[in-house]
Amino acid sequence: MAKLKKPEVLVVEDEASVLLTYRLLLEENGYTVFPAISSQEAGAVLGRKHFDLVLCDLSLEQNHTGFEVFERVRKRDPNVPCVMLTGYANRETTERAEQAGITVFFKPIDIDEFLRTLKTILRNAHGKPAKANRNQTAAKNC
Amino acid sequence: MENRQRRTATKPQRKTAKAEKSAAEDVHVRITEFPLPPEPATAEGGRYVYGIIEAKQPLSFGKMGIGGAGAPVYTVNFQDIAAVVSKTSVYIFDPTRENALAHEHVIETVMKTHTIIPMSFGTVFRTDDDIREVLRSIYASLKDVLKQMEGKLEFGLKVNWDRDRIIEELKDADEEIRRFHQEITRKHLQSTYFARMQLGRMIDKALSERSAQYVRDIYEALRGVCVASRDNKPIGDKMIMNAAFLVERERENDFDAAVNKIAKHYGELLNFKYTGPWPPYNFVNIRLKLERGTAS
Repeated sequence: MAKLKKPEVLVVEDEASVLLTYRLLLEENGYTVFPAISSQEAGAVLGRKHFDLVLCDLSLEQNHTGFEVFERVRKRDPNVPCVMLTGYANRETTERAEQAGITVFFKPIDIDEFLRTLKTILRNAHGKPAKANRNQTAAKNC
Repeated sequence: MENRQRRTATKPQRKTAKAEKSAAEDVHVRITEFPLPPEPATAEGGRYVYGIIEAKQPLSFGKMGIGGAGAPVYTVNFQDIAAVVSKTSVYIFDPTRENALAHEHVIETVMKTHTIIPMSFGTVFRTDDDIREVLRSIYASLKDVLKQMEGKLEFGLKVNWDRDRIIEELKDADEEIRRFHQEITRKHLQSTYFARMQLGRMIDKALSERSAQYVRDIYEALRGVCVASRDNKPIGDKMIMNAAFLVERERENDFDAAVNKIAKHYGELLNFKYTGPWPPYNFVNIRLKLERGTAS
């Protein structure tokens, strides 16, 4: 019987230990993770590979932002689901994410909720934000 | 700016089981700014410069010049040094695979019989006289570098590890990580963000320490058989070491044996990619540039 292909996720985060944490967490939960430590590295990977989902921190190296990564993703494939992680986001940022169809998670995230939402996102139609329950710490659905 | 192209050419294979030589290794070329502003080529075109050697008489190395037409490769001499060049009708070369390999092939051919100071990929001058002028102006420096590099070869060593395997090992062997990981599992702290982050930080720190230890050990094992080494930034998250070693030509076998020994020591844990011999790209950094003065 054919083996089910694991969803391939690009994770972009400029802090090595946090990137590793997401990687371990996602791998433990059945994802294949492609880590990128910078927007530049993410750009290089995006140029040669398609992903089932892109997970990116809002704040990246040297004033780069997750939006730059998402723009690159969407330019290549408008249907790839995008998830942004942030410890702080003002109204403008969340509205911008909402307009772009990007799901936002506020840190500290509830990990169970986070994992459930990723599953839902991948199950749902490509590109449409998932319907996640919003609680104090978890997903804000844009 | 240093920029290495992906190597796809053949290179003499090192005979080693573990310290494998990759057929798809890097081509060592540097791309620097164009030495002269592009101007319309003369009827004769420009001169592509591959490197500098010691030579009292004009030499020729065969028809293998860059550009696809197999232009003769010859020397432009000044006193007892010479630039290895070929004529070209273009001034700017794209760093395509074909061009990079042609550049590399000439350098490899020359280094069989000469110590060569390799030039950056894409170094083009207008005339032989321009080249002589540069050789004259930095003659002392070139002589000095040629003397320092005489009889020496460069070898590249990239070391990759199986990070996931090391992480699994750490979860078992590192007391602190093992305890914390068990705690997370036992108490079902999957949903605790801070606990997961703390575990991530602990593992990341342990990985860095382990990687640094391996790299130190490898340098230590090769210290006695090389003249110098240079640590370049590892590429990607699987690579822990990306080094270049300068080795006396006569100690090539000793270096070879030392690399094999250390590779064998680490067995399946580390993957050694060993390349060379190369000209001393990582130990020479000379850019040729002719600046014309204006007559007043």
